[in-house]
Amino acid sequence: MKLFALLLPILIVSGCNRDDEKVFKSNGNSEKKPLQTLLNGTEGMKGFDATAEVKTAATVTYLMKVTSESGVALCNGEATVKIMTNFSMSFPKAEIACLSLTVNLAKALDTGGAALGGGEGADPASSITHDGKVLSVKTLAGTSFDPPRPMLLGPIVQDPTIYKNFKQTTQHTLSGKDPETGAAVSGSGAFKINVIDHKTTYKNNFVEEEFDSILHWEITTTGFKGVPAKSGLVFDRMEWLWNTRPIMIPKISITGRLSDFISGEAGANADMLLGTLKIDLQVKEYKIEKN
Amino acid sequence: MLHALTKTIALAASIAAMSSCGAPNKSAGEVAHLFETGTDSLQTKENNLCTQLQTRDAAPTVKGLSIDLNGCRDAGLAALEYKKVDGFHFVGLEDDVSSKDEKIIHRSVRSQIWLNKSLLGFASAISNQMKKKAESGGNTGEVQHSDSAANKMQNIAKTKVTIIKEPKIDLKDFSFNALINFNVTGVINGDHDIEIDGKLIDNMFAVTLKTTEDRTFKQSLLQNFTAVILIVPHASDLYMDMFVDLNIHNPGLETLVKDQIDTFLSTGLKAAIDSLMAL
Repeated sequence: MKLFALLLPILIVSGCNRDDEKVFKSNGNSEKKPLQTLLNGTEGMKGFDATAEVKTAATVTYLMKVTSESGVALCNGEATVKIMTNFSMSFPKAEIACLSLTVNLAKALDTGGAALGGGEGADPASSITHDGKVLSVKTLAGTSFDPPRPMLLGPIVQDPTIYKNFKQTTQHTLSGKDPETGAAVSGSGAFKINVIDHKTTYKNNFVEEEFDSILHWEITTTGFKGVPAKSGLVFDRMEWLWNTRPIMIPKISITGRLSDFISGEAGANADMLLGTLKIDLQVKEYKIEKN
Repeated sequence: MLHALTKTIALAASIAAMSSCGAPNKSAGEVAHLFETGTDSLQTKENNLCTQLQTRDAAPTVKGLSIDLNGCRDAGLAALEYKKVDGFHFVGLEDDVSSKDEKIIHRSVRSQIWLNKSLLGFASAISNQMKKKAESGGNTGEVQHSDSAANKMQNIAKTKVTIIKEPKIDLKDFSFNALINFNVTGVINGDHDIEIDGKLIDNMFAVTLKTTEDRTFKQSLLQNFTAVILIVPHASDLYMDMFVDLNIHNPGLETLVKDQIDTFLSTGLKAAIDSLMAL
């Protein structure tokens, strides 16, 4: 039967010659194609294509709290994060008030690209790779990683058990420009992923519901000496609490220094004064778009 | 998963075109009556094909399938010329049908295209490819694709199409049946067996594709799918009308999932048809 199936087309073709085409064309020559009246998506059929604009999938408001290494609360603020339909994120608002200093984290996070995929409107497919567990990004916040740096687990997690006790360390080089000053930056370092819990829960005082499908992991960074963390988001540590279904990020913690966000003398002074900081973002409210 | 799905659609289309190249062992003149379509409009031809699909009991049939062909109206009215397109344009058969179960996203789309090839030319190209396969040792197992347009997707998802049951072609009524497995790993995961049935009906070809079993979210992002492909020779060209009905497990962020589905469908389908046309 296999041989028969393979020989069939050969028989079909061998039975035809160029003149035979006339047989198939004779009637067609008097036929006409209908006008393409529905390509603009009107008159009953709704049109769309792959180049459609990037839309907002969810808008999340986080309460931000900055604490020192010793646990002293230093700054408070709010951040609005938009998760876009192309896997990217944008930060329309992220301000914290620290003593007399107001820090606009949104500017640092949004400059040269958002947290994923190069920013709103970018084509994430050209930058993102996925090995079945880890989503990695080649270009990020004005920098390029070789190989692509690990950014997230998931983000669509169908089976959390594959992440049980998952650990991974990878080496990378970075090159690019400081998104704020334009100065060239380069360096090499490593990212270490450590899954703290593959299925746990999370609840805070701001959102009524409990998130019951939390994948909890951290990514710690070593190396990249002299590279500002906002270039490629090479913070000392990023901790993620990711609800796998429905997808939501109820908490993110970033460990770094204010100079990671503020360039120049102000940042350096803040570092001397405050040292290493922990920035916690806890979900306050969120809206998931339906269409 | 969706990319793999489009590969299967293209594979089915190949088999359909191959099988619809007239009767083997006879000259074209002898089988010319099979293709005497008069000067019916495309809509008339497609209506005829749809009616038969809706009334037939034997495969291919849409009896018992959840897919809505919307009366097959608007034939060709959204059809692009293959040689002029970079990507596929889809039309929604209806506005997104919201399932009562919020954990399932129901997507129902249709795409039309003029392949810019005569039936004979198309079938000849595919037959030549099959001949090469036969010479190189057979046509079973994993199907290799040279889908350049889908390269960028390969970074985030690896797809594999395996022929489980070879196309069984019945020359008596120009029909075939096949079983294929899709597997995708990467940013999404899935594994489906797909049953394919095709038949020459009144000088046109109809193909149905359907998953054999529903999958859980853990097993596959795609719960199930059904597709109907109609291939109609018209105006010295080949018209292809594809209806696809998908049920997808909703992981949350519904808008993101829908947009990604559309991108995968468009990119994957273009890549699959490109592969077909490059034969």
